[in-house]
Amino acid sequence: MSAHLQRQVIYLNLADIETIIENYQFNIFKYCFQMLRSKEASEDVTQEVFLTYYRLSGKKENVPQYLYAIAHSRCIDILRREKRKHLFAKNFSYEAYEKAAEDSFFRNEYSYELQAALETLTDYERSVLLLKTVSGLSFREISEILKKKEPALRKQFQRAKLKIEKKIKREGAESNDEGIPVF
Amino acid sequence: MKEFQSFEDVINYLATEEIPFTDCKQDIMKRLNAGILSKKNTYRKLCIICAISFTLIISAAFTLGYIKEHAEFVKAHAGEIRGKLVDDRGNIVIQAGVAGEAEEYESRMLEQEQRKISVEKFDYIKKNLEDKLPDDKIAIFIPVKGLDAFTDFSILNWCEYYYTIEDTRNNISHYGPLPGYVPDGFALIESGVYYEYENYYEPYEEKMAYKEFLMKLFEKTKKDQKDYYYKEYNRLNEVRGYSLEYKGNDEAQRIYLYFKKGKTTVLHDSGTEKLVPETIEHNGRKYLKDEFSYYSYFYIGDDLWTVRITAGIEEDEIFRIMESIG
Repeated sequence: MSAHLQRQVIYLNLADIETIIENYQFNIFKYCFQMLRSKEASEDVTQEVFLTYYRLSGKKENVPQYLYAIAHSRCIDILRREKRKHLFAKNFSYEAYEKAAEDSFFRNEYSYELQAALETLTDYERSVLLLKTVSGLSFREISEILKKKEPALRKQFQRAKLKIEKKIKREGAESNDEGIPVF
Repeated sequence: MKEFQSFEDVINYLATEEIPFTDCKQDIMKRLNAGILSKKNTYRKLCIICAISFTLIISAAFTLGYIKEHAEFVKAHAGEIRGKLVDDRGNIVIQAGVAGEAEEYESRMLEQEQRKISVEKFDYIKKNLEDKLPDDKIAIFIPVKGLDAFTDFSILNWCEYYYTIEDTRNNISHYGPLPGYVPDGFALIESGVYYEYENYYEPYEEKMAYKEFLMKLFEKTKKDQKDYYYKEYNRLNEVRGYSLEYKGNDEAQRIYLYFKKGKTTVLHDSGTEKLVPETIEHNGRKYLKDEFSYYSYFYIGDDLWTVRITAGIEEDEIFRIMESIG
């Protein structure tokens, strides 16, 4: 490990991190779940978020933003990886089977339509939408998390809104729903 | 199925939907107390390493696996090989087993991070570079989060996707086989073709470890006050594998075929202790079969191709697909 990284370990103690986990784990999990739509993957990411925070952060201010930033980064990684569909991942089929089986438990009458709506968005648009509307963060706070300028985020949010509205209209016009791939 | 009527409906639903939340505080604290801070991260890094330097990992030679070229891969995952398939020439071409517990192989993963590129690997890359297409590009990308630490290292565009069997055939027909049969009701929804790539060490330093290489780029990016490092690399002309995904009439019905040039080692997650791969034969073709997949092999000239089929369909249909491959 380089001297640079060594210097970052660690200014928090275990009691600090325990409190932080208690305060934020539900919100972080919810964000991850709504990004990934997978319970298993969201649990993994949530754990990793707090472990990473503990390992890397000397800062105690702006905790939620920092946690969301880690969560966002990990979720984007996973979504990107899903898209690549690693041919050579050693346990691809097993994971896919497990995930599909587990996630199906959480489907309800809205799931497929919601999935369809969310899949019209880019990963970043989805993240902006969730952070703004579900997590209730301001564009300024989101800009700290995503490292993007506020006007760009506002545009992304508007674009996400338009895409979803368009999708809803189209779905309403189509009587024959072909279904949505399992996420 | 209910339908959303407006954007606000979607937002209201997202804000109030029931989340399958499980309190994981104890798990996190347990891992913190055990000092296992970066298990997932290390695993992720290993996956990335596996993905971007697959040949590096797979071609290393140790002694634990039955396929000696894959022994280090098996060793790195504390794997246990449970079954193997031997071709007519007496070579073990496919082996399947179970990976150990992550904690067991964490230290070995760290060793992987310190891997040094070998002279042989460098020569192999140089040789393949001669075959690359002029416009082929591949990218390396390292976001630097708040300039505190590097967070990722990815090769983009190392895989190309196609959505018809014709396009897939046009891009791989010189290299490998395709199935001539799939059961009624199944249609190709996506294929992915995976390429070899140029040496991503830049500049190449024979004795530089992978982690050192990343750290060097990270430090440079930080010094330049940039948010990320990005560089395009040349992709090589050689296809190293491809996958086909078919969807059935039922949304959940899928058939996955994985074609890989060369020998294959599959390690399933720990937790599958009862996995017992068996060797079977059908219509003169040999298969290795475990509870998830069927594996077989083909020779195109002197080139060995190994094939894996994962699907929730009848065994006879698996055999028909495999027998139609050519």
